[in-house]
Amino acid sequence: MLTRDIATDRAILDLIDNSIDAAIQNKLQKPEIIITATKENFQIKDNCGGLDLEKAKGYAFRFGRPKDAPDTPNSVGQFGVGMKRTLFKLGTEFEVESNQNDTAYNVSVDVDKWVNLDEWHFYFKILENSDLKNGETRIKVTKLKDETIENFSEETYLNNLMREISSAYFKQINNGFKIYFNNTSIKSKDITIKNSKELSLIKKKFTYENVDITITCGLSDRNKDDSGWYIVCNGRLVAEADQTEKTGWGKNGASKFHTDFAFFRGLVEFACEDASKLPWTTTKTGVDGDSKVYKYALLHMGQCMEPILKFLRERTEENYHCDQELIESTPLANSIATADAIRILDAPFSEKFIRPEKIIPPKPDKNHTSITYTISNEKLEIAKESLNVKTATQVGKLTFDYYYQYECEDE
Amino acid sequence: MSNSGRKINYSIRPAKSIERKMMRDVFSCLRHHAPLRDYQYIGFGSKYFVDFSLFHRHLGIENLISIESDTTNIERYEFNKPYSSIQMKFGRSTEVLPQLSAQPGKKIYWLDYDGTFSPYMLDDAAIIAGTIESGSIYSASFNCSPLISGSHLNDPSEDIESKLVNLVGKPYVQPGIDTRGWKQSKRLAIFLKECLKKEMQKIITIRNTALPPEDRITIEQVLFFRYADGCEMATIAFTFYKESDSQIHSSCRFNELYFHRSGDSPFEIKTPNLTIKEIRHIMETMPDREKLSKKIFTDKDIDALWDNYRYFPNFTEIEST
Repeated sequence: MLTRDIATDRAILDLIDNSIDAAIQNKLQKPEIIITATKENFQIKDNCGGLDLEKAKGYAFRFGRPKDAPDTPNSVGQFGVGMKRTLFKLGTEFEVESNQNDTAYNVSVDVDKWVNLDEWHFYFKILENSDLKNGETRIKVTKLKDETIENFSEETYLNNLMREISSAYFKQINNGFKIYFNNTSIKSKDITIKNSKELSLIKKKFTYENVDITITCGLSDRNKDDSGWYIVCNGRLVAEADQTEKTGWGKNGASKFHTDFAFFRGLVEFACEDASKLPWTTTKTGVDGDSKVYKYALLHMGQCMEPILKFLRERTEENYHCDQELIESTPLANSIATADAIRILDAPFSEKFIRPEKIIPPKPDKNHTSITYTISNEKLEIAKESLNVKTATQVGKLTFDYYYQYECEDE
Repeated sequence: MSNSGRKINYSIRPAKSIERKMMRDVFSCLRHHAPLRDYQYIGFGSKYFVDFSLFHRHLGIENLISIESDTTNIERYEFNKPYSSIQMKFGRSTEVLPQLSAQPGKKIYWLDYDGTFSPYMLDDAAIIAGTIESGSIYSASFNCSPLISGSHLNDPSEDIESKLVNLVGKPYVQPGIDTRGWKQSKRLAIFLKECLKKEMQKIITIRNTALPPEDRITIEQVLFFRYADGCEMATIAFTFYKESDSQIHSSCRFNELYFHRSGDSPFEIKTPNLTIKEIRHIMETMPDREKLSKKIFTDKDIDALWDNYRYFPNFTEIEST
């Protein structure tokens, strides 16, 4: 069986992908997915249009995806591994029930019995009475595998799973898709970006071989874990806060990631009717670096990111100059602090990165010399308090003045 | 770049001076693409701006940008600018180039690096290739002094490999690369030239995949110089043209310049060791070589002068007694 090459969490995300595809296809206004995962059972119920009985017979319950399967434009579930692999991964007994066009049916499978049969068939039962409303589908795994029970008993596992769902579907959730997990409504991970008259962002859109590519990048609050590139394919987040060469850091003239760049946020959205053209890996857990469309996007990502990184390098310098008391104001840091944070998905198009100019500190005076020495932090703090100042530089200056005034000045 | 201007006055290095004038003639071929005054020149002017003066006077380029990494003497560079139309951009080339290269227009780049070759030079090339337009030229000069393996190491081959990695970074050094022959500066020069070309080609290939056939860009090598004014140097130049400009490109006739080189055999700029009086005498007598005294002139020196006499600098000696 092909279930070992997929992790449980990924299997569950695959099921959500199917629901989302159905919702997009059926142009649902208020799509909703309700997931229950306990050590007794697993259930996913959606109102995304229902699973057509004929389709279910022809495709959903076949292995792999037959060539004549109808296209699902803009789909996220493009790899067609279908429901079965996922369900086989989670447990050994399951039941799928759906109501489409007021026809309700169910399929139930007991894998242990089923594998011993000579012919592999699924039996569809038309239901006279179903508690499902029109357009609803419910998938239940009634007998979980041991490893699934183990996972679902761990609180940390479930928490991580919720976080993964929140990241992977941040765009759909932002757009009004509701996902409930064990009675909790999953909030979308909000990626924000700063935008003001003084400090803008860059957002560009272009098309490469029918794939729409939208690049948004700019600044947000300093956060080392959240900074980096986010990559979305047909709405599904496939890379999160990436700070590696994969997203262009340290490549083609760009800087390697550094904590000074922890303000950076970038989002690349790929969208295409034909999901097979998108640069994601088959597990949807990353980008396919070999894809032509990705290489092309990467070139533009580098060019968009450059002015932002330059600004951040200058901000670090500004901070240093300010600590040294070489400059009095910090327009770059101020512009970040005062700009409004907006959701990165709501960012307006902007070709050019608008930013304040940096202040160049005056030249060091040749008649002056700086003195460096090291003291314990403890003593420094005491001296700061005694002098009523905040910085080490001020302590150094004032203690020297103090000595000079008493021991060196004539009068 | 940097502050090597303090060590050498660029205007009196003979090979450099010859090279500069050859570069001028190469750049001048670009006029078939667009009037040269429409071009932007981007270079490292140092404090002497010799190349800037030459290209301003002879090519009529007004839009000149000098990148300078020495930020401690800003006023001095500004003071030494021979023309007010030269814009100074202070910062390391890799920091400044993204902004400069993002501006549209045909460009002439001459990045005359004076330090040892380093991976950031490949970064610069990649940045330029990301936006360079048809009809533009990228040239670079770099040090190609031969690699000498350290005798203290047991395995000299590993030493050469790590030295190459220091120069161009891991991606361009094949693990277990043949480590023989790196004492030849020419071998190193070819290697570095190819690294620069591959780096640019990589980016151009990606750009081309998004372009209709008539807009696809071709890179063509037009120069490969080797010379030594003290240390071993090489200069390379690549032109960029799109498919629909290939007719224009051929009318530039770069290949008719006698120092044009499109492959791995460099044009060596040799400078003869002659006095001013000797130079004058050779010029008066040639091509009647027989009349030149073998006791005074060696064939090597005569050839070196005669090969490039049009480009040879005019020095004036002032004696005061």
